[in-house]
Amino acid sequence: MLNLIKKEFLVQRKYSLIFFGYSIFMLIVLSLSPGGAVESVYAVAGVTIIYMFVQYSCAIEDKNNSEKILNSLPVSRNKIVFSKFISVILFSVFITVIIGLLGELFTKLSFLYIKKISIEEIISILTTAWILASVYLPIYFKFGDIKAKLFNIIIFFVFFSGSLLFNSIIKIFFQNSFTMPIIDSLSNQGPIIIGGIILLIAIIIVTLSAAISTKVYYNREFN
Amino acid sequence: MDHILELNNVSKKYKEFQLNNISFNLEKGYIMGLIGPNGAGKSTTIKLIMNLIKKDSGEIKIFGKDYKKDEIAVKERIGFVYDENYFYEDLNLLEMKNIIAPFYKNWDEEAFQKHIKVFNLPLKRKIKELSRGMKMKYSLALALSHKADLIIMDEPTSGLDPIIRNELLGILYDVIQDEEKGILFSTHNTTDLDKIADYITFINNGEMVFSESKDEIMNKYKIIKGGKEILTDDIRKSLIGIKEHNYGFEALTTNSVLLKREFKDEIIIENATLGDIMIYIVRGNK
Repeated sequence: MLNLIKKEFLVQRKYSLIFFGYSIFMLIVLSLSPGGAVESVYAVAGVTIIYMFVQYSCAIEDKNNSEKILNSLPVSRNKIVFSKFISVILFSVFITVIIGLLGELFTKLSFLYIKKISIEEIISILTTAWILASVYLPIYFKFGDIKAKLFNIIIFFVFFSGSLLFNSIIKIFFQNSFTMPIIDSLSNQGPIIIGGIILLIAIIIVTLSAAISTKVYYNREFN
Repeated sequence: MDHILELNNVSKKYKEFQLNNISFNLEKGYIMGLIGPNGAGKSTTIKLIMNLIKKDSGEIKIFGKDYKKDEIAVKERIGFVYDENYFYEDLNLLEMKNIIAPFYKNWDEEAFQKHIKVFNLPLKRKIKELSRGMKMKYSLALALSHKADLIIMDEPTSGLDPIIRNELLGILYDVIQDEEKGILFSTHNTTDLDKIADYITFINNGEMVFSESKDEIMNKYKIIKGGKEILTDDIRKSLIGIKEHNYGFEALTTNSVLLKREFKDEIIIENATLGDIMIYIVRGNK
């Protein structure tokens, strides 16, 4: 499986400059003014780049039709699925460290309003990216990359049109008599515990997604 | 007999195409040609064997084992060459080899380097910069470098020039000399198989026409030429793919001995090539 993970990074090697350049670009552009953009600079940059990695990874397999080769090798379909998930997790940790370090560097530049990356921001990058990947990858493993791309349209819709809906759901969730005590007890905890719980939920979602992916990939046909 | 590959009544149904009850065996030390026109079901058969698609019914055994239950162990011993390049085209040959090699317990680096040298392949060149012939040789180099006992090739010679094709056939002939390996080779170009195949499985429109030794097929099928006056209804029934023209007819037959005895000098019996057999059978008696 290590070999499959290495392959994920090797085939995307030529995009590494794009990822790095894009990180710098986004951090600078989003932190040029003291408005709202700077608040979410790390989350926007991190999630975008991780999501690009997921998409490129699937698009490369599709473009080269290389799943026919992978599935002809002595390796189980489960390992092919797991290696994709593990590489996304490894890449997301790596890119979070990179943009954290870049942010650290940029705080020294006086014309930028960027602050140092916080633990909350790290958690929000990882959880958002993992949840997005957890939805995208099972669709890819079931239908291939072209149909999974349709998912991007849904993401676009959710990101740009669904924020109001999301706000309402959050409000309902926070004012609900059943969830209120849970929220109250959570708010008494430190940020590390809350962050840990959120991260744990994201890990559970990733695990479920990987389980669904192995099931659908097992039955996939490569015509 | 040691069957390294066995298919028993394997079927697969699609919306517009159906592969019906395909059965054949391959023993080690032999080359089997899988022939048929484009769209006959050759690639579908190979994809079924490689478990890239799921069969609806039937049984596939490789090295005596169930191809699905023992999939990993079975695939350790299969070398595959496909009709198209499915490698990551932005990688160079060395990088791609470094991805493939660790999957095989029996990877033989020395054999790989030897094949690369013999095939004259540039290891540092990107896959997308290779010619079709080079890509095919590269696939073959990988297939021959992990001590595979069964080599499965789907249309490996399509699109190759005659010189490279001949070279490839020579390599395959060398591969089976130790009598421990078997080769399944699909092609719609039957001249490839006239030279090297021991057995032929012919699939037409998803149905199996025959699976026999090439010598038996060549003895059995003959081309008959004669005047139209002998074409009675009974005679027509014993002919395949009758082609009538102004001066007479041509057809394929499996009854050449009887027909020669009956019509003597009124007919000419000629040997058929695999290509002839395929053409006449596909044409049928329309």
